[in-house]
Amino acid sequence: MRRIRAVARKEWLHIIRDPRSLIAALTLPVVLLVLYGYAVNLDLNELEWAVCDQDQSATSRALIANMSGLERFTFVGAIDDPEDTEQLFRLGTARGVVVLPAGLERDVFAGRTVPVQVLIDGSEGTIASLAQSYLEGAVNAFGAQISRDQARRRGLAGALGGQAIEARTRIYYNPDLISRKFLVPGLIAIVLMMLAALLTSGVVVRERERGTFELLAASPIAPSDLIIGKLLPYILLGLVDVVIAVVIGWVLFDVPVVGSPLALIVVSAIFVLTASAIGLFFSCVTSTQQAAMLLALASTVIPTMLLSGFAYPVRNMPLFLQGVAQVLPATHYIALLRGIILRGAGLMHMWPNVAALVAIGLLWPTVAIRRFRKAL
Amino acid sequence: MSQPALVVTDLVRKFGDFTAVDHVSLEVQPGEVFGFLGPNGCGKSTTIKMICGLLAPTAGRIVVDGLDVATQAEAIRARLGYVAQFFNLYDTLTVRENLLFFGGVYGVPAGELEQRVDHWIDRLDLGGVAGQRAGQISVGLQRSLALAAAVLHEPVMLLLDEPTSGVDPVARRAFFEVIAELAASGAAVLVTTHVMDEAERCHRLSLMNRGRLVTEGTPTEIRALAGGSIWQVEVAPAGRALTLAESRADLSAVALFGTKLQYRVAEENGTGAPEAVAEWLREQGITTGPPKPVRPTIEHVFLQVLRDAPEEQP
Repeated sequence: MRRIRAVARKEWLHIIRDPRSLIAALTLPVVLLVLYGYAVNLDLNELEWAVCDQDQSATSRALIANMSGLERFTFVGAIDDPEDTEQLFRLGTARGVVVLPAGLERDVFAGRTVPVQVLIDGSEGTIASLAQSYLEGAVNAFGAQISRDQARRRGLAGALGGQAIEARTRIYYNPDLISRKFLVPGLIAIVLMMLAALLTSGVVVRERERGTFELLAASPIAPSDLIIGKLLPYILLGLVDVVIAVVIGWVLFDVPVVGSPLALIVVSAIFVLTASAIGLFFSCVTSTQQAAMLLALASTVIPTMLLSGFAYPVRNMPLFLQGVAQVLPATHYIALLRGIILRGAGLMHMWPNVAALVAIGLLWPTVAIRRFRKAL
Repeated sequence: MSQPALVVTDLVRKFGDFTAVDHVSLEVQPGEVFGFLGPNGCGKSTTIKMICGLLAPTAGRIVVDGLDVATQAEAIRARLGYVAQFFNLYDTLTVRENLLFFGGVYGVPAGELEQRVDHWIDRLDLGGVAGQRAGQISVGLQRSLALAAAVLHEPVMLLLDEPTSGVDPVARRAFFEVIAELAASGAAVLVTTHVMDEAERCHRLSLMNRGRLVTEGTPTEIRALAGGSIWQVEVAPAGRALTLAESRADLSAVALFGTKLQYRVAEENGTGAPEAVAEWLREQGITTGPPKPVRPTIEHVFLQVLRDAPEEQP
């Protein structure tokens, strides 16, 4: 214990005396979370749309006025010929065009269902499908409004137009809320993984580079004492980062912690320990800080981003990749974070994730200790 | 009868085809300051690193305080104190923090640590810089700090690899006083050096060249190895005089100290006599003074040993 304390104290002094790593540890979570939080966004915040009004009636103008007033809908103008649509898409002026056919008002009052063509720029898949559902929803909603007005006028209360039923389900679907809440826990995990592995990737190889390793190796300290002593301050630093990340998720992205803060700290401590041990492992097996840093980043961030279920559901992956996902600590940590932060779930209800995280959390420090060599 | 602090038997270390340490054997007793002399790259540091357990020997055996390095490296490390050739403590930690760290790592009891740190800070005159970062103090003080860090846990065997390189002569003298004190209190000290006045302060000396131990003995015994007699003569121009003297096969231990040329002559008569050498130099166009006899030092022996050693390319 005395030796672990001496190492931990020394490592802590290194951290607080090296402004670069301390600044990185405290500002990177803020920068990364804000950056990712706004950049990795599955929502369409502004939908530029245009209209081709071939009817030029009171009804068609009412439809245009109605849609222009909707939140996130930006009306960019009217075109005379549907053929001009391509020009708009090519210039990126509009993402969608609504074509109101001639005879729209006449057919509406005759009680017929009028087909309204919605043209979408399909070059960006996610945005295209969102634009489609926004525009269809808006048109159908307006159609339903007209149907209701007509029905009321004829005294047939409750009768609905054909296009209104499908439209309603689209309107109620609000992707904004879901994608933010879904992404924030994953972002916290990725930022922590990246930082913890990055910060510890230097701690052994740096001593080799500076020559201080020689005295450490000549001392009677056991590899386990040295590794544990070196990890402790970084776990503390990682927990500070957890708090920063959670607060940012709460304040900037409106994702409050519904569940137990204690559970959050406990699973985060295990996760940070694991991520730090991975960084330290690479520090033990490389001969330059750059190599250690690169390996630590490549082996933690890339698989975590792609396979941990941060944005792409593990369930949809091929079986082999699902297996890989199970050995990534972030997979279980993200599942636990979503449970604790979003659903307020207790650890007992997520015991398989807890057990897996603990197992991986014991494995990596052991590997690092085993791989540590006192030889020069 | 106490056992030797260090017994090295037939130690060999090869790096590829190059044999850095070639069948070295030595023994150091408790209370003894053992000097390890040799030019840079002769295998001194490699030998010390093997004793510390930092390098595995290719062959041979190292026993410290009755324990074999091959099987009980960790137990031995607690009994060793090591000062490396280059300063390798933590630059960003203060002098005091460095000492507390190494004391902790070596397992000095918490109750005694502060007191021992204070003692060594005081003894090695580090009081003025105790709160300064180790990277910002002078080289001499860094060497003192390295020594303090190596002795906090009261090692049985102290290994000093050129501990005084870069230190001024006054500080070097003080440094060796501390080493003598440590030996007097029972520690065995193995110190490598290529500074001859340090060698004179050792109890016993070993001369190493090209990985081999060439000779061993007390400083007096080593000096006695210098056969013949050493002479010194004022010369000008000095550089050409040195080249000329070195070209003569019958002169050994040729060295230049400022404008004074030294040489050892094997015989007192004939063309090899000291005066005859001076006369020969004058014939070659060198201005000389009268030759004067010089008391032989270890350096003379050393130069002689290097000269006599067979020239083989590694």
